[in-house]
Amino acid sequence: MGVFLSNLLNGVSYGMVLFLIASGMSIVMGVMGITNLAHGAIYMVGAYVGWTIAIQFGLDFWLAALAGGIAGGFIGLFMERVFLRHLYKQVNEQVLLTYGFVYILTNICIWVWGGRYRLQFTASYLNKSIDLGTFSFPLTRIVITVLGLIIAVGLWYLQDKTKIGAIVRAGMDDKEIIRGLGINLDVVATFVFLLASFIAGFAGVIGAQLLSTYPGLGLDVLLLALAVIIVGGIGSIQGSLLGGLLIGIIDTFGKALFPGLAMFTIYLAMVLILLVKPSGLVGRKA
Amino acid sequence: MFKKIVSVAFTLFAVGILVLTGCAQQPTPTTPTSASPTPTEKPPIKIGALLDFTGPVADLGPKFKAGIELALEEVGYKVAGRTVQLIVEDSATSVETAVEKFKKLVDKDNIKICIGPLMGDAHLALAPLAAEKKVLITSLINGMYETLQYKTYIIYPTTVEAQTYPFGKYAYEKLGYKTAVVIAADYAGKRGYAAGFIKGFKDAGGEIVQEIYAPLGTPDYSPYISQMKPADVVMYAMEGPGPVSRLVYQYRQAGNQGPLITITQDGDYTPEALAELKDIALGIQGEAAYTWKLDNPENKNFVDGIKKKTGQVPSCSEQNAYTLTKVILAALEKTGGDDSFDKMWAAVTSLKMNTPAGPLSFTPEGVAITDMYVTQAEKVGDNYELSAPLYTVKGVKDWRLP
Amino acid sequence: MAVVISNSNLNRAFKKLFIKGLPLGISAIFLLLLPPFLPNHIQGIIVKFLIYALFAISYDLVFGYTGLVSLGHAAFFGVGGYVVAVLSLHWANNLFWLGMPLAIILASVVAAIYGLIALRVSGTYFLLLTFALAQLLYSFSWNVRWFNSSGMQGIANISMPFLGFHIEWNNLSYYYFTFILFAVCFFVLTRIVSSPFGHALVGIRENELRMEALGYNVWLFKYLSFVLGGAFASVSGVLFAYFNRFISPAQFSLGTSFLPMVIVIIGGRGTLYGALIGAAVVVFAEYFISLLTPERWPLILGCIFVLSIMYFREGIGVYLMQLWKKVTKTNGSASY
Repeated sequence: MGVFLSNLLNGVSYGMVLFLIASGMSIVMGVMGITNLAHGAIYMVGAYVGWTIAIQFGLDFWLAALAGGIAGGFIGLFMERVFLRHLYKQVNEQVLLTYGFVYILTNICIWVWGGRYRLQFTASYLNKSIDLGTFSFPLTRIVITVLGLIIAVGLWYLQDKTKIGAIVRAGMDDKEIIRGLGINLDVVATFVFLLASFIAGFAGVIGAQLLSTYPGLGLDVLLLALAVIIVGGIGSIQGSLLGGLLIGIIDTFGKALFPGLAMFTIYLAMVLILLVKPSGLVGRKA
Repeated sequence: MFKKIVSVAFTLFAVGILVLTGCAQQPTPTTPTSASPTPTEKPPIKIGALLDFTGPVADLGPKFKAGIELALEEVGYKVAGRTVQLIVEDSATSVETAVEKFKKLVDKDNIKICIGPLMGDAHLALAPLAAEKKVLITSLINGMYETLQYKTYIIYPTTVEAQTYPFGKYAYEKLGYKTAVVIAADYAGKRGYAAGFIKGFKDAGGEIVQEIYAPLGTPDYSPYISQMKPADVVMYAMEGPGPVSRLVYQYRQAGNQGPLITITQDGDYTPEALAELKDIALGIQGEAAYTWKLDNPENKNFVDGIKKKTGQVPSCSEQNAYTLTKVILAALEKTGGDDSFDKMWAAVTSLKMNTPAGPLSFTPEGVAITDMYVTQAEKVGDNYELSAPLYTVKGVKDWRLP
Repeated sequence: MAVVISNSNLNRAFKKLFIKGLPLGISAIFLLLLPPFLPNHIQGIIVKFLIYALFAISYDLVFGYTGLVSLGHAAFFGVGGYVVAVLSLHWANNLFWLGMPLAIILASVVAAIYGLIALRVSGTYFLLLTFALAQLLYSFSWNVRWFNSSGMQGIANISMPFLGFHIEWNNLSYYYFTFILFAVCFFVLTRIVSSPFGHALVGIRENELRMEALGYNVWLFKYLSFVLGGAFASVSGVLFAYFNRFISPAQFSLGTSFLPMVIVIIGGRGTLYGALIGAAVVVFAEYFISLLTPERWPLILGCIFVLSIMYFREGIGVYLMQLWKKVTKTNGSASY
């Protein structure tokens, strides 16, 4: 029972990190029709900036998380305003452009911070574990889970209950009408991208309590985000949350039960889910 | 308009980087003190190096380079009356790139000696090529037994299995552990390291209760940690300093207090990694082929040199590259500057020398015979450092060799 | 060019030939006549260039002409390579006439299966699903012992192909061998894309709904294009395995799937020659830049990708072709 519980909790907290990573990318894909492969790289830069603030300068962890988010937002703003807004709905060009940015951002990180791994870090007062009988559960994982839920609820509220969310959702379906109503969709679109990139950078620091920080993070995180989006579907918070949790749990239990098969279980799960429900579990119609 | 400005800026940026780094990348200068060359001066001896500056182990490239350069600086880039030219290429932690750059070094630069690359897979891909082209090629940290059939590789410090075999025995005989769980990164290189430990532990009488192999780049080891069966000790062998730190950290965070031991500690516990791990790293004993606290004259000299060059104490990366370069230089002295393969092979395999890591000799198959140590992390004042050897095994040789 | 073109049929035909022929002629000179004069290691690079160009034109059929954005094309490249690698590893067989057809057949089978799965969705979902399918092969080739040489991930020491008669294999001879295969594939693909089938593919890319309305079995056309693309990709995989004498799971990875996409986009999609130009840009740029700056080359390469999208939206190859057309149109246009 103890093993099952520990795996479940670990899977959920890992899944929350995945949700944080993927949610921004999924929204941007669904809302703006932008495939941003550099989303993982933005996460990575956020993590590095957070590391610099928290470890190198020894400042408060939450300040570091904020700094990571701001850094992410900056990069996102730059990419969107200068390049991506000219490539609306052109998947191929977006792919090449954002892939180019992955190269650029990864190499800049090696340049500035060097190639070696950074250990997980967190605030000193969070660096403890809670005793749950047969095993201990680190406080950082609880922090991640709670934060993930808060952000999920916040984004869901934004998506379903606010005017901006309504505009965004309507814009996903029919741009012409929205524009016809006099709403400046460009500003809204930029805002969405900025928000997604901020979350990515912020998530980079939050996730750095669990994952290490290293230059390859950009691509590794991209693969994870793609997995979540495949399973959960494009364009909805619920989908990303569900996808993240599912992948986190499947991956954790898969590794625990069939250690030899590891990555195979995730990709097999992805393919099977897509066979049954091609647009992902909660995705909008393909 | 703005788009134009940014595009121009981008282009200038890219070109600027290219020019700046391209200019800085001139081949390492030969001694500047030489007077005008005499008419009969022979051409420089070229040594190629395949190091990783990009990719997952990008931080090791500069360390290896520092070791090689220090060895060359000590002789003023001269050997057997000729100048030495070092040509370094990025193998990008990719087998394909390693093969491509190797071909470039051999075909364009006409090197007959190559140091590296690091990746075990690259060794196996390059060995047939190196044998064909008659190029002397060396390992850097891990040596693959399967390359021996090509008789082209100089393996230092020894094969991966032989490196950890003595430590397996040590864990049973000296540390008193009777049962062990082994967790290793799932690729051929680390599996080899683990296999050596497992064999040593079993041969001494121990029992391996469980073997777990985690995929490369596993972000979250908790599922593996939670399924570990009870045992006297857990031995971990992950693919690099980052994953090592991650595993140890997550292991302890899950409330496990039991003892940990490891292998290749000399490579994983770099000064930077120790500074980050802090107390978590203490008390874990590990196999090491080198520690900067070794007490011999060559090492004192070497550590001083690296400290001056990089500002850090060396780990095995710098040392291995340094010693391999010294081996090559010594062999070149023996052959009188003749870098052809047959002469070099004979010269290297007949060498006996003292290195910062201890005494060194070679088997006829090209595998080094060196000493192995056991170390651990210790706190000295405010610093976390690798200790001096707790235990020494002399003259480790792969048991499969005659 | 102040050449006076008179209004005669002969001159017109000659002019047409000149316009079409010069780019072809220049390409022929570069591809056929230049190589023996290049230094040995550069000959190796042009082999790599042709292999990836072939990989790219196979992808162009699927992506450029049919508009299917697949992120898993490496699956077929890898299958091709692994077939000859396994033959070499387990049966010590390097007979080209066995390895190549077997590779094509197996890759086509994989493409046939994968096509059935992937073509149930479209757009971004198709992108993601093809990616997942290729990743399956990646982890399969990594984990199953049988697909690996002892001591490594992947298969090493693959022998050069045996053609039934003796050939002195070196960079130059292998280059011409690759060129022959490339030329055959290029020629066949040219015939495919200029056939009614090929035109239908373009129609599907442009407006799928209309093609449906016109009575085309759109799914079948897409499927055939996908499978054909896979078959041609396997040829490049075979050439890769022989040339590098190793293959590894990395040949199934996302990076390998990206490569033909990047090449086709840079060179110009939907035009087979675009893939050639794109491959030249990517392969040569990466090689020479990494020699110049072993540490910063990914940064430069990334900037090149970004700039080529902003400046050469249609692709550098298409841009060059348009430039050429502009130059040659400045005379005689009024005389028609």
